Amino acid sequence: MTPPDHGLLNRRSIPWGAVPRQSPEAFGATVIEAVADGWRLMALCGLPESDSTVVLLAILGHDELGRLAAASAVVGREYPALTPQCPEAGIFEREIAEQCGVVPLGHPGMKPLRRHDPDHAPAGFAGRPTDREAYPVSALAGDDVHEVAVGPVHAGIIEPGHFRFQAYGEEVLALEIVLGYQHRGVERLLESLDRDRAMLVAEAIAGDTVIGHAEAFCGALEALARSHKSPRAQAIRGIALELERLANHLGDLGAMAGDVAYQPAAAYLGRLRGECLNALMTISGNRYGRGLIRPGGVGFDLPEAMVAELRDRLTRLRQELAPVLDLMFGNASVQARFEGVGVVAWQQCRERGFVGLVARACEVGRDVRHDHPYGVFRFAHVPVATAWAGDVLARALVRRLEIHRSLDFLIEQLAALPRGAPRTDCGALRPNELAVALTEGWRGEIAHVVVTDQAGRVRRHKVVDPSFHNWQALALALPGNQISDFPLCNKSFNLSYAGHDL
Amino acid sequence: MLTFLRTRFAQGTRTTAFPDQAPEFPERFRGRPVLDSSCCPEGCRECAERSPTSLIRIDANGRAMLDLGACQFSPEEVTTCPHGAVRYTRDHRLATSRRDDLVTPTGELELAHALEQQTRRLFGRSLRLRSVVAGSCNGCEA
Repeated sequence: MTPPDHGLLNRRSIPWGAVPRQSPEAFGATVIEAVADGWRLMALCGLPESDSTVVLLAILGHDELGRLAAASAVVGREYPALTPQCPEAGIFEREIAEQCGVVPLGHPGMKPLRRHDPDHAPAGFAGRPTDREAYPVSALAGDDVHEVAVGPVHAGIIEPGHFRFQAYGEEVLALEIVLGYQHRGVERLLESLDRDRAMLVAEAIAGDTVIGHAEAFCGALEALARSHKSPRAQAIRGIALELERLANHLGDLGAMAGDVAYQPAAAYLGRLRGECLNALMTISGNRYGRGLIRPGGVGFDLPEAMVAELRDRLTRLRQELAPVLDLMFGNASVQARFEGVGVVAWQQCRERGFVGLVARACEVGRDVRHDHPYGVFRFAHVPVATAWAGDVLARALVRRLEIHRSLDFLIEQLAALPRGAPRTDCGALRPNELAVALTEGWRGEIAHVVVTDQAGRVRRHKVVDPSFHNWQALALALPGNQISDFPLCNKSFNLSYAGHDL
Repeated sequence: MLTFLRTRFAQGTRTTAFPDQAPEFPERFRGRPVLDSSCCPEGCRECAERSPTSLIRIDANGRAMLDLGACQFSPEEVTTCPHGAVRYTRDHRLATSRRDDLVTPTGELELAHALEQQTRRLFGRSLRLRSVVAGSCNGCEA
């Protein structure tokens, strides 16, 4: 069934009153039928409505049609869960239970998600505080089955997360991932702080995705303020987004080479990643591009001399990069270690709604730049890169293709940067509206959903990082592999803990 | 093997001259902020009220102080001063031995210094800097 069209598009807001309000049962049926019909659950969240009720808001997207739709329902302390018929909703419903104190009845895998006290619950829902230690890990029984626990404190300088393997010999039978150690209350901060401070929080949602999150944050506010950016500002945003993608993809390929002990590629790619971060620093004064994306446009213009210099640097990078990638992908031992490891199946991807390069590596061609185009991507089309095997090699190949296409895009944009003011005044937000801003960050789809109240203040700011969807993919990809392949698998996803934990 | 050697030769050696030479940063790089209080009009509190972080604070004597520990190095933290009293330099050195040393009236820092000889001789080989991530955005680690 196709949900009714209310004109909701990526970065085009609609009145909050236009969102259909259904009974919990009809709401569930709408979402389940739409998902069965090729729609995807992009966000599902709760907003406190009165002292004893919560509004559930679902944002659905259809990638082939390029359409978005919203549905809502008012619920009390409990409602019938969608998860049994719509596995995509599983993790969202765990989140709603934790944030709003609403119980999805019949949810098959109800567990804490981030282990924090409810921060979006109605005033009348005063419950007992969350027990931060309580987390039931599913264990397997049997004589020769053993359990391996890794983290949350790791040997390297990485973020905290707990991984529990059920193994038979060296073979992994099941993996459970426990996150939440990095929870900072990002959504509450975005809802309560003034715009300047919220902007800095948005840049810190995930430290390696500064441009992606800042861009989605601004996109939502600009849609609610009817702010129009100049073509130049949009082009500079696109350039920054692709530089961020380039830096991270190069770094990941280098780290994957390092994980299979192929040091030459690890060293060269590590250095080339630095070149991309330095390009972002030249533009914005910060290696991750902080300070660049601002409501109404960009904080820094690109003078002519800088444009020429960046174009030269990227052209040189393209020349230096090609032989390194040939070397790495042509090496038989690298291929042997990448191939057939950590497979995500097409079916799993469709069922669970994975996004970004994880989806594209199993031939699910989801890409916001292509499916829900915005800004500069309405004019400059970046071809969608896909692979079919869903393994570590496929995820490496997708990165390799995207590196080439981002470089082509960058050099093309820098050759003909449109004119216009870098930044215009963003203005006040319209009251009682709903906006969805999607950005294709380097990991995948970043969604910021913002609802304003009658005074034009932010009533709800929902953030969905691609890692939120894709951590489940890592848990599904591991069974059947050797424990010793976990670091390589993990790196081939390279998911964000901070982005998931918010 | 030949391809590898050819690539190795083409990539060359790419290390910077640091610490023998000071590193160079681009023009827009935002390093250690400094405060020139001679620009501050009497009783002005605009920076402390408008800044998105607590980089600039007014102490009990009405004097503006910089707390570099609260600085996010965003452009807005210095542009909130309408008198141009605060600006970023291109100095990248920010490490101090104590948290309190990051709070200064001018932005000049007493930088952390090397271990003294005796301590270094006794403990030098067992001292390691360890970074544990807890509640960050992963920017420092990435």
